[in-house]
Amino acid sequence: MRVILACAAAAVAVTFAVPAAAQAQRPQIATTKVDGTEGVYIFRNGNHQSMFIVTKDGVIATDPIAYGRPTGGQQYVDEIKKVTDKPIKYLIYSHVHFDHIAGGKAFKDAGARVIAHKNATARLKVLKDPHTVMPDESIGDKKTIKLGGTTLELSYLGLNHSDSTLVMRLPKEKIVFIVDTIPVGAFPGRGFIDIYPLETEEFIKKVIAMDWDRMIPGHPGPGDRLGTKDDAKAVLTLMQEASAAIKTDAQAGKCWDAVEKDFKMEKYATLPGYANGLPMVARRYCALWGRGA
Amino acid sequence: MRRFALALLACLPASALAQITPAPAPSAPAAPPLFATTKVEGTDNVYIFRYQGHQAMFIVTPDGVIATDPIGRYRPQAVTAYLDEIKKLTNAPVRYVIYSHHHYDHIAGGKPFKDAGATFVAHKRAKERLAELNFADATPVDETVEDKRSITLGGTTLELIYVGRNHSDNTLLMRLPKEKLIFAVDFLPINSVNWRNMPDSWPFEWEDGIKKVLALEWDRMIPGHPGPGGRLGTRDDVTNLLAYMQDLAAEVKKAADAGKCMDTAIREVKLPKYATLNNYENWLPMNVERYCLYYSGGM
Repeated sequence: MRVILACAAAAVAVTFAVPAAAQAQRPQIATTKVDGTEGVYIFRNGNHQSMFIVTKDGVIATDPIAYGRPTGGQQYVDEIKKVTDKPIKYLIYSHVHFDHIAGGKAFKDAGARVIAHKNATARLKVLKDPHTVMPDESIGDKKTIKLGGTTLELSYLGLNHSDSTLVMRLPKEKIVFIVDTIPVGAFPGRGFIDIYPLETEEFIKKVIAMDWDRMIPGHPGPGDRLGTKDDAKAVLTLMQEASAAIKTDAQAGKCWDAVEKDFKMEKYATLPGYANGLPMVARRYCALWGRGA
Repeated sequence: MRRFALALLACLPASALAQITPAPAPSAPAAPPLFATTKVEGTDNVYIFRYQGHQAMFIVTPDGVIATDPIGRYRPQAVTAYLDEIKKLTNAPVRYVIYSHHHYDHIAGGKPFKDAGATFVAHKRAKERLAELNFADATPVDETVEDKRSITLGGTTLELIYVGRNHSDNTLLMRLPKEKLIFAVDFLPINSVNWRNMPDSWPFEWEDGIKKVLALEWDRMIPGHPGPGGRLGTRDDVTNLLAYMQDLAAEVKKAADAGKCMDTAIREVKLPKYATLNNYENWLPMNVERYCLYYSGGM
């Protein structure tokens, strides 16, 4: 899931969850206040979404989600302005992948300080994507931002879907914003071929050990619902089961093509993205158990 | 390239297959032997040990043998065969086993060499990766190399050179300066596109590494999987691979900039100029996938 993990899966999820007519009416962008919070919002653009927090002293925004959407960053800023006239103080990148972090210029122009994990910054320096703003500040394992009475913790918990994922946690609200590594109610998608599989299991365990009740995913869950610890546990279980099954196949010398073609996880067959995601999961674990790659 | 045994045939172009496969006859043509040991022409003491679709170089000197990859994944008998083949040629002890990189299909099964007293050498990251993976069937690495090491034994000099991250983050290029031979595993496929979706790879450092290989002095390359018709690689093969990778990167970048990564690009990107490369039809889409990941911000 180093890239666009849940994109395909989330797209399918929406397709499955919403009748065709209703889906056609779903607007391209939407801003939703998270129930039970004073100032936590979700901005959705297509099948990507990010969290922003409005405080009396300013706004903390996250992922611009404007890849391939030249006006997406400005639309996001405009949506924030509909909610508050406070300045946007921070823009925080969840991880380096462009589908989440392209389009930050409007935030930068509005005066935001851009923060990312140091591995994201290192990567961006090499890739020089014209649509992605370079971070002003690169962090290591942890940083806490306090603004207008709100505390936001940024934690790097090791390799997972990328090598630069920041888990963002609001301790008072018991909400986390975690992008791509833990899909909500969907089977892993194409991005799974690029995850760090063993490290991702450890990452999810660390996430589960944190104090939170609700998770905002980077791609909308079924019916736009938020994630729970049960969702995180379900993804961990799925990965452990897939890993064990393919380890057996790999050690029997069945990787690659036969496993990619024949691998099944029947108990997950009803999850959106199942059919397309299976060969990707097989491919990733064949590399791990077949080659050590 | 990392392939399974049958890929030995799969990696031959159709014309070559036609040459080695007689017209259908009542009795099937003889299958290639399970393993073979071949002395490299024009050398005094450099050999290739092939077992099914994998191969390794070894060098026999009066003071001992320098062996490379045990190639014993799923088949411990390959390693005993390897050692027996060496013993047919020399009474000198096997002094070294050098791992080309940490991937299991090349380095599993070294225990008989360890029991024979060999010192195991690998890149520093190979040792680390194997420790992280806790892979039981790899003989532990005794000595590590970072950028470069030369081993001189019985009048033969072998250079172990790290040319950066490519198909793994710990590949050692092995060069025999006097013989002008290199042994390069998996990152310089001969007349083929790259293997599947290039997992565990660093595409652009890989290009830089290929340029470094081309800057070295050598004439012939022993690959880690037999080349077409079993031939060795040439500088032209390596130059062509570099051109393929550069052209592929440029085409995928165009597709990425047009918002086509990943599924549309995987379907649409074609490189007709390279259509005669082996595995083009099967693996080009997966090669595209790899570069799409890169241009999406991935690794």
